[in-house]
Amino acid sequence: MKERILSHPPAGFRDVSVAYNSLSLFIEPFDTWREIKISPLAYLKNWLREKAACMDGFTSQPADSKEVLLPVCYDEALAPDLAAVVAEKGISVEELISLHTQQPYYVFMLGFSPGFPYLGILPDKLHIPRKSRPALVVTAGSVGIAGKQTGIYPFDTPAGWYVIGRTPVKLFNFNDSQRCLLNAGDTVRFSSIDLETFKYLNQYEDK
Amino acid sequence: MATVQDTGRFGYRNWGINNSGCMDESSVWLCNMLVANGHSDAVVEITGGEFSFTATQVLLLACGGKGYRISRNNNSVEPWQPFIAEAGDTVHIRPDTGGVYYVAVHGGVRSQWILNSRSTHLQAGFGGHDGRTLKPGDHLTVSVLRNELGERIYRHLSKPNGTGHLRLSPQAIPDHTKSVIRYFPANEHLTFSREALAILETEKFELTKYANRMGFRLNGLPMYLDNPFQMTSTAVVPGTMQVTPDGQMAVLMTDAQTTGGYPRIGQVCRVDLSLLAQQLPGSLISFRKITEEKAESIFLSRQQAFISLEKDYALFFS
Repeated sequence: MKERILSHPPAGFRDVSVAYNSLSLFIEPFDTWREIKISPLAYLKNWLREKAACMDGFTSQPADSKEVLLPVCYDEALAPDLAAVVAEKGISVEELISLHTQQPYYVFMLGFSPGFPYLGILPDKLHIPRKSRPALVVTAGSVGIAGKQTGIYPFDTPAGWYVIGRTPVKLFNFNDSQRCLLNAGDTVRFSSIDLETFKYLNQYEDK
Repeated sequence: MATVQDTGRFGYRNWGINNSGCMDESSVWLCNMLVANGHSDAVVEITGGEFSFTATQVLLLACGGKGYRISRNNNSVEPWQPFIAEAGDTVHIRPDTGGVYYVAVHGGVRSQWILNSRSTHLQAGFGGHDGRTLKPGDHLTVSVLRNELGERIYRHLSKPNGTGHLRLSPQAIPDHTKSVIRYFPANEHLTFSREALAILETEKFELTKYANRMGFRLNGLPMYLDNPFQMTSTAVVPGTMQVTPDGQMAVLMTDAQTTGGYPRIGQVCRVDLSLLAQQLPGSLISFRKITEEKAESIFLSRQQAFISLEKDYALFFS
């Protein structure tokens, strides 16, 4: 669907983004209006209806997906919410680490901030609702969990997810032609490292 | 704090790259118009503190926004008017009540063009001037040549008393005193309780100190969902009104994340997002529901009014 929109975009097109179960289309309504001289809202609704009508169940798999092993340090010094999560779930820190690292995760999408991967699906035992009040800032590299998802904050941002560890690996570099380490369709595995190893590997030190 | 911003970066949401860009697009359009720029040319945005600069060549400038005073070589300059700074002139922009303020220069600030925009992406540290806020000693690049209209404005201003009859009509200047913000219902609007929707429509919300380019957190009577549920993360945009499970609302601003998972009670209409951007912590804000069709027609008529103002402005110098 995304590819079809990109190849035949609507008037005033700006962007299209895909989330788990939604697709959002962005237009500049004034450009749309100048081009077609009718209500951009009515135009877009009609345009989407027509596109949806000629969908034929066609699905596409990202062509060159890869598997990435990411080191994560689960030391409490880097994981402000670790204690709260193990208390809430009635498990030990060791159990949490083994649950979080035991399986591969699929990159469903990138979103939130540049390079942030939405990963899933978490083992049942780690499901936890989003924070009722988001943290004002978490440190770049923070690994969070919320609902059935886990993800990594590439930058110092506010965060509504519980931070249980931190990766020393940078996820976004605008100078790099790839820009994002991970892309939708990739697979990620986490591997637990200690604080010493984290400090040795840390790519965020220049900040 | 001052950054280089244009009207935003679009087309990279699938990498998680958010809009960036100016907070108050109405003020930017107007300032850009006054110096014969395109709507989306890059300007300097000031969101706090003092800003001063010295021209190293003759510049055609215009400043506007809310809550600052402008002077050139210690002589005050009116906002919303084009003016000239000769090489060596120093322009000071000092906070009065404070707000968001803009300096537009003819030809635009020629900062790095990255991913279709000159805007500063502060979080990721790219775009604008070295991907960061401006600091003393920085040199901003501007264009040397003037376009035809720019040249005519420059000649007009060079006449003795050239600025005298160059005042914009008051209706053309954004009314930043408005604190009633119009919104239309967003996707999860109807999952909120009737009490919550009544609170949104009738109560006032206080802007907290947690108000920055990412979002404005508000403080008000709590608004709850009928049946709390965990949402799957989906798209959010500047102006999206999210409610966290503690019942408090945040309005996302121009540096907002691309996706979020808190229920969206409403979407601030685009015209009023510029007004909201100018509100200061502590101010009381009320929200008024309109339909999305109404929001669209408000926006389109505002744009048409702006385009005709732009034509009149150009005609004045012909």
